[in-house]
Amino acid sequence: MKHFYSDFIKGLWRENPTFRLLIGLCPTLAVTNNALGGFSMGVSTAFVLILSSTMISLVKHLIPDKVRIPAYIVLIATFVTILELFMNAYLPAIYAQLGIFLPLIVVNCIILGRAEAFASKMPVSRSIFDALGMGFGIIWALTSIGIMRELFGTGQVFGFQVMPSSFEPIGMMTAAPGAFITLGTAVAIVTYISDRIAKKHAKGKKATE
Amino acid sequence: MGESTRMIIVLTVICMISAGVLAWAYNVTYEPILANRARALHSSIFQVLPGAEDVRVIEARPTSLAEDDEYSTKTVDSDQVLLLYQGLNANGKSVGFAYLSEETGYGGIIQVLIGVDENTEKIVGVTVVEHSETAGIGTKIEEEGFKSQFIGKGVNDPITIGIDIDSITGSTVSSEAMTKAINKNLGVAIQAYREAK
Amino acid sequence: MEETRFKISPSPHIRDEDSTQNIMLTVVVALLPVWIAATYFFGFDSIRLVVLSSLSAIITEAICQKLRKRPVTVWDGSALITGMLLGLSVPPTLPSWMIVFGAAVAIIVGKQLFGGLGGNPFNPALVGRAILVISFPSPMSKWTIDGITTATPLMESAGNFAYHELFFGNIAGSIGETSAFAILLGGIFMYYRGVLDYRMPVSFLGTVAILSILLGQDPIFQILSGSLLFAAIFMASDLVTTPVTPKGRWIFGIGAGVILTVIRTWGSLPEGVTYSILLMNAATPLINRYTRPRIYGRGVKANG
Repeated sequence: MKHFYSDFIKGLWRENPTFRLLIGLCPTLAVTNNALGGFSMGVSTAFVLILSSTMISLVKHLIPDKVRIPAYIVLIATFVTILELFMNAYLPAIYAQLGIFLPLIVVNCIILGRAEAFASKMPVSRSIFDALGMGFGIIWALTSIGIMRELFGTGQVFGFQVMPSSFEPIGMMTAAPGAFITLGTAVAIVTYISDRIAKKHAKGKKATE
Repeated sequence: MGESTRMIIVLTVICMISAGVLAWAYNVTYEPILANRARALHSSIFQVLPGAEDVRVIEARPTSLAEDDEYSTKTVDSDQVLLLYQGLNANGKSVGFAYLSEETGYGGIIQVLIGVDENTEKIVGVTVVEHSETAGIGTKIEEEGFKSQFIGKGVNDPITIGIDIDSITGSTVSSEAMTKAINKNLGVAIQAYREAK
Repeated sequence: MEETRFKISPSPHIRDEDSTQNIMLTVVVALLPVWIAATYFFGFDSIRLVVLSSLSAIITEAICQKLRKRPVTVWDGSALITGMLLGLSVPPTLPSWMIVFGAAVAIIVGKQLFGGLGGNPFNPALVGRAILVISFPSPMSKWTIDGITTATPLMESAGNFAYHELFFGNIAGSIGETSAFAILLGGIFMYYRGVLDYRMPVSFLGTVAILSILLGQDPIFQILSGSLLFAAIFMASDLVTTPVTPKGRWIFGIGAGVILTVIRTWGSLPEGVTYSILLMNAATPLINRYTRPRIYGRGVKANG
């Protein structure tokens, strides 16, 4: 039980793929120009990650070591293509917004990274919790970047006006430079808080010793 | 069983299962995807032709088409063909037609879809289908306030920037290009529609 | 002024009275005629924008240095110059809060995040201008003269403007860039004080002129319109973000001129001066590396 909790919780903050591991940044920068884009990209990636991690963990003993990477890629690509087809059919607006970055989930290093580093070594149950934690980590990271960029870039959040009408949108935030500035700022804040927590932790330990 | 035999078998099986699953997914989603595509094309036609609920494509062969207009037309058997999208209402009666026109703007081609009323032969709707104007400046041609200025214009009132149409501050070039695109083939398209009807 | 770090470079070194403060003071004085001309043509707006921009830059710099627990060096004048340059490179109708925002972001993103004066790869004033153009494209391209909104001369065909109007500045444009006469005056003063290397503006402007002739455009119009002259003299001459070697400066100027002409001729942006200099700023470390002078007695074949 303790394993499951720590497997799940680490993806949310301590090993958050976006803010702490800094992987999978290409879609992070490209589709987060509004909150919905960030959220749907996060959910799509999490969906593929959870399914592929589970599947890879299930079949890991059957796959010879030498061909594991091609086998993983085929599995991941299958899930991505299924997702792509269904989104095109039932969520065309979001499909159009994510564009090329939806099929590119195949090469997102978060997914292959978790497959290699975790799912291919651990039992299925733990892999599921790991993928869930990482998945929710991506979702909150991408959504919060999307919210910040949409808020300052258009004055809206998820399409609803939140800023007073006198607010002049800062167009840069929805353009490419805004993505880098927002990501950099977010990483700085997360690192700062983490450092504070680590320092507190160290102090607490010293006191009890 | 040798190692390489095992590799081949495993990869083959994985690929076959993947292919099977994808075939199923493709079949399930095929119809909705086609319907979406048709809806996307139709929705911009419906946007410029109020009351239209169905579209019929007419291949018109106008006699004199503006020469520099090569995008909205295609050449069939050395004849220039102008595609007219006739909008039909719920009872199957025609409400008018829409056609595409282009002009070079500030950052590239501006493509507009123009809707013309069946009876009055005046513009009832304009929408920008494609453009690559400067974000935030030229993109204002997409705004309702600018587009609505063209509504009610006909072939007998040539549209002039500054008199009929307020140009957008900061994007003189984009506004002019859009006006030109609309002016260019309006008469020709109306004539072609009358003949094709 | 206390120096926190030493710069090591091979001898010989020249001793003179130059200090950061001295150089910056020269630039400020050189900017004065431009500002005066701007005030003559655009009135109170010119004073409002330049003062707000400078104050915002200086205060932001002081706050950043306090936060970074570094000595506050706002009196060296570099933030003042960033503020003045930015204030002079915006249209006269720009709202006050936008120029304050632009100057603050210029200092934070363009300078302090890279470690302050000397560490920034890009000219902070140009970073500020680029951010303002991307963020507020509409107010940043509202050019007025005598209260009438027009397209900038660059957008109109050449020949609609008399050369003497372009030269003295009675045209629409950003407040500091319209009067070529005042800009040249400032440039000559900086050259006389040894702050401006003639290679930079000469290669930049020369490249634009030659390319304009080759492309069949009017070279004088291309040089006098837009912010080219202003940027070539005041922004391309920034000591921090441009090459240190004479050869490197030629390369910088020619490169910026080529990029500018490409953007003006084939690009979709109204003006390319900002981006041409910023792109060459990015290439500056590389240029420095490849134009490093040969160390005496080394690098040549003994019998060559």
